[in-house]
Amino acid sequence: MFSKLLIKLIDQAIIPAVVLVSTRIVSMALLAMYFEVPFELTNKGFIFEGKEQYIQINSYSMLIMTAVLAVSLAFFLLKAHVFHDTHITPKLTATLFSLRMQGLVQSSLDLYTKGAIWISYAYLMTILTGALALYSYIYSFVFYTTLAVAAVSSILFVSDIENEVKTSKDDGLDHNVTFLEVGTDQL
Amino acid sequence: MKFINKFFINAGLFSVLSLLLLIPVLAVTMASFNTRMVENAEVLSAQDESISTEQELYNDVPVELEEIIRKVETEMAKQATENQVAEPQETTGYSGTAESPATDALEIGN
Repeated sequence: MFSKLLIKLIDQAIIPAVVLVSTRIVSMALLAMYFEVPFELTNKGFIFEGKEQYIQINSYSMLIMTAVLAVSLAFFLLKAHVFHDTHITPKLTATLFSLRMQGLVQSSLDLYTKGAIWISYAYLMTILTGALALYSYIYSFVFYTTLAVAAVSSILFVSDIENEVKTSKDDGLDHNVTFLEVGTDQL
Repeated sequence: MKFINKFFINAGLFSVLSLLLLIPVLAVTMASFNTRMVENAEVLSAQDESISTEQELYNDVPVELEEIIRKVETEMAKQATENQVAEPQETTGYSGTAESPATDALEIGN
């Protein structure tokens, strides 16, 4: 009845959403304290007294969010390229099991649902920073940084999917040679 | 019927997923700025300036003397207000008393 993939995606989307929202709130408060910028915390959120101060705090807060996103994407891509159960090396598998870190080895479903969520957040952040930079609500270098993070992570994600497809095709058998043909050669 | 149920359940799940994806976007838009705080700060600073300029009048005067001057000033202000209130009453009284010497004179004459 329920779509297994959708439930998996919802399950994987909760933690990134909480991480990003808490990063935003904590970074805004800490940056305002660091730059000694007065602000009001109302129902509408953080309200600053001037546009200049708002742009400064908003830009650095978005940059911290992008950094958190980049670290999470890097961890996911490391797992996808090195610890993916379809193309992990036997030596590394043995090492991980001896160190009792076999949890790092993940299946394609786990990895790709996580990847889809994090990449979606990266694209949403790129669109958002682009819109904010367009109206000069943040510094433009924040948009370029987010765009670079999204582009690089997309390329690496696609390369892992290519590896996966190649691995599933290359199962060690020559599909052009049939059992009967082998038999005729021997005769 | 089964297909419709499945469709609605999956549509609901998809909307939940979309909301989860939009939460960080909403978090980004929860910061803003306004000029009301600046205006309030300007009013307060203007008030501070006026208070400080008033206090500058007594900058070169010793504290004890300053208190005396302030008392004298307040007394003078009180007297001035009392005079302003009392002046109209005197004019009416004067008109009343203007008649009395004449009656006195008549009495004397009698």
